[in-house]
Amino acid sequence: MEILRYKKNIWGQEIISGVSWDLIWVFIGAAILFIVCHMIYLWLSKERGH
Amino acid sequence: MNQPSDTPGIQEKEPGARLVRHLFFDRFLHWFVAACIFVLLGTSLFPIYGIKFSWVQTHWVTGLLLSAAVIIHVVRSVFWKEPRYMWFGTADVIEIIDSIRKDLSRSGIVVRTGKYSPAQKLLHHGMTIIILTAIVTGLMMMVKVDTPFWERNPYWLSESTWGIVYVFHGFSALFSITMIIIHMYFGSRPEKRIYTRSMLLGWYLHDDYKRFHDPERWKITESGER
Repeated sequence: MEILRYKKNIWGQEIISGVSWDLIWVFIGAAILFIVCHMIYLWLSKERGH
Repeated sequence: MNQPSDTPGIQEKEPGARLVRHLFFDRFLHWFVAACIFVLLGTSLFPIYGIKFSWVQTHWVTGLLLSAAVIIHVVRSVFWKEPRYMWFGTADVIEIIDSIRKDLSRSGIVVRTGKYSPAQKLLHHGMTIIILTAIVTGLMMMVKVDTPFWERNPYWLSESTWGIVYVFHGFSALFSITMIIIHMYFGSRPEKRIYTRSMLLGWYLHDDYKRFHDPERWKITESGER
């Protein structure tokens, strides 16, 4: 998976043209992972008597 | 009738007594910013994923509205409110450690937060960095758009420099998606709905104020809001 998008300028040089939009799933996944971790934390907290 | 409370500094109130946590204008600003962010994400991401429409004008106009809302929020927060309520400092780090200790062991002290919890402050500051990055890079990109006020100038920066500007703008969009999902998750959690309710309706139960907040760190006025 690419992090950035590239294009060629008029001289044929490769230049950055922005972020790779495939990364959207990484960012959505990071949010879901955070939520899962928080739920595990709450479960652990409940297990320990609170 | 007001009576003394167990919690120092707090007057006992009748059950169900309310105080104002967010004034109408602040609530309006919050939901206006939220609407702007959804429009900005929709107008930028839908075309990328195949839903084609004329998005540029809606995008930049909404971006300007968001910028105006942010400026109003900053001025209002600095001059009319208490910016220290949103300050993240050593006390917040200690508060996080105490909360984790209390949550994961049978010992520990009950932690009462200020007006905002450390988690709320971190989310706010994260969103601040993301939105300011989006606004600054977005305003730079406005140079490349024809508006009623100026003609576009695509040669203001070199092509490779524009690429870097696009990278920052794109990353701010992607990070905002993560933050929005996390924000919506916390806003919908049963124990956090008191905060969501106060952002919708403005009020907060006095009993919740007593249970969860330190009156030294969130001083309420007669109207209940600072």
